[in-house]
Amino acid sequence: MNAAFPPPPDTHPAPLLTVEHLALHFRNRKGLFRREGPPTRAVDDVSLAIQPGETLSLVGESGSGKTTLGRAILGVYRPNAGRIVYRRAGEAVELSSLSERELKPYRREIRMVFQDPSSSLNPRRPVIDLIGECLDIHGVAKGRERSDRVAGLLTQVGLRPEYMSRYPHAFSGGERQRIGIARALALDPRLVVCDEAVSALDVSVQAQIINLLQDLQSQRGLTYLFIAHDLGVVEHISDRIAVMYAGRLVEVAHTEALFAQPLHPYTEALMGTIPLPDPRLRRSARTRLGGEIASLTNPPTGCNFHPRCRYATAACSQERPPLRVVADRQVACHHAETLTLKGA
Amino acid sequence: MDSSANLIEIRNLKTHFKTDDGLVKAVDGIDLDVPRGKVLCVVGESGSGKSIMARSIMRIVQPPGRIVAGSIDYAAESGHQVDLAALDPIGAQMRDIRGGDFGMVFQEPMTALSPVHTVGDQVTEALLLHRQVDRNAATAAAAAMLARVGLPDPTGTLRRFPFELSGGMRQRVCIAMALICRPKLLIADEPTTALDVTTQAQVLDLIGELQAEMGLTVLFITHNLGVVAQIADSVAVMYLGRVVEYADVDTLFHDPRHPYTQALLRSVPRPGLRGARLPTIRGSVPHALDRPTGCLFQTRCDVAVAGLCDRELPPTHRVAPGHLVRCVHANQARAVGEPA
Repeated sequence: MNAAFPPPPDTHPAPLLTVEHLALHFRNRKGLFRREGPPTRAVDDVSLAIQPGETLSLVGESGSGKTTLGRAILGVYRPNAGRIVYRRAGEAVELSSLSERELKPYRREIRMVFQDPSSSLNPRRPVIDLIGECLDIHGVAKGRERSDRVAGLLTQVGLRPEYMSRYPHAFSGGERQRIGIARALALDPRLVVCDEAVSALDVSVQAQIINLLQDLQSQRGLTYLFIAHDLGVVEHISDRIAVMYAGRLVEVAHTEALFAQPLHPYTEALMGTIPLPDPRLRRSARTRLGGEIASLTNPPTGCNFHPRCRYATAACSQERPPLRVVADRQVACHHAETLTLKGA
Repeated sequence: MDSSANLIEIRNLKTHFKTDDGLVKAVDGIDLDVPRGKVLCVVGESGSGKSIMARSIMRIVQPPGRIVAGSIDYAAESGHQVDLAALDPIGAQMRDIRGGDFGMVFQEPMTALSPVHTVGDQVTEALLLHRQVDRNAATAAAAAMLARVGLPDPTGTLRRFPFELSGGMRQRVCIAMALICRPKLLIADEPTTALDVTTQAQVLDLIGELQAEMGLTVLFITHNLGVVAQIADSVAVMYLGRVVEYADVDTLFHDPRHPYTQALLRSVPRPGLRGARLPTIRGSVPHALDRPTGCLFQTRCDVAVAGLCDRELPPTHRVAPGHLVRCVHANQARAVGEPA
């Protein structure tokens, strides 16, 4: 299997963005005296590299920390530990150490598309302002030039420029998501974080938006960090996939390799839950993942996944498996070499 | 179809909403048989009227929505045939059917449960209202049902409030509530859409097991074709308030005849097509107040015939026993979607 795929992905010489040993903990205060309880470890010791021009998907259940990681990359949260390093024109910048002001120019280059296009657009502002706002904040364009740019963006995402004076309610869900995409693209970003960007859409609209994202990627050389839970969509659009569980990465691999044969039991379990659109391929209930995601405030000892893992041994509850290179990918499992797991 | 084989037969059902902007025909002339003891999935995109159809059966359509025409014949256990559409929605008979014979599970388990009542109060409520049992017996039955739907520590859970439970556990409580009176019909309206994929798989398994165990008839509403393939016996595809195709699940996935069904199935990402462009349906679902004339799908259909499809509503063709298609091309359907 080694020969078919490139070398372990995260050793590529010049990633666009690297996340190094990132930790994001949220403080919990409770009770009468607001006593400090154990923190919620939303993201714990995550290292990941995003290569220029690729689509890297981040998958996992709710509570796996995938959205928090995406937001940290956008600079929404200050990490408790670790670094986020962004490269442009051959120079590396540690985003996580910059002040708000120093960060501003980089905010143009890393943008986000949100899940729910209805709640992420201000209902009281017309489309021209929703998109134009990004241009105003960064002082990019004014007056005639501003509206020309908005018109151009709308055309690119498949909307008629005449609609720019309309308000969000006049658009369908799919069209609103196109507006959200136009807004993310307004400042010519290099990296776009798509947080469940197609999850809320109907099947036929979802296909249109996936095609649009792929077209824009090839036209503009965009890099995507695609956060999703629908593995069918993820398989369709990703070059690589990073699987998260309870705040940690458990497996990072190329899409074909991961789907052909997962090396982490959690990846196998996730794949076993995909409802395949073919009645001849009904799944038996025996391979189902039982239980619920591990607590982030009071994580299990050893491997976070061991209480739900069908292959767990004594070692799994004692020692935390590090993310390490195995064959063509990275896996955090003590038994990665010996298990033979089923792909999708 | 033999009438005794169907628990519910819907004929020409129309549920309309009179709004300030105009008349919204959410359900506009549905004919649908719900076979007894089977899982019928209703699929459709937002605005197809699938939820309103289900709520019409339960008679819980909120004003300004109103059933304006048609019948919903329910073949009750007693052998009586009842037209639900003709009943008073808050009358004793309908209330008894709604809570006793039918159970419903909704999409959002948090909003479907009362935040200020314990799980125990909510699960036993229907039993105390619709079955002659005392509180102790009801509590015991509720604990047994919670155990059956897979909640750990059922007696402890009875004393808890919904906010103390996770999303998946709440949905299990909702299923227990819907099934506590041992209903004949379970209506599940997107019950797994708000859940994680892993929890979704668990809940689907559970509904499948309970269906077999209790001989339930299940009306399962979803927009996820993967879910349909996993649990359905038969499938009705809805578009803009009408059923456009009805077939058993294998036929629907492997020999779909309506251009909308075909297009919908093609637009699902599937293995082996990675990175390729997904086939799409052009345009979007028309606005409820701006319904096309003739065939409702003609504005987005690749095989629509001008002068025919935009003039008249196509009749429903029976292309095979149990396979109904509302399209003028239904009979030469193998060719539909292929280049001429």
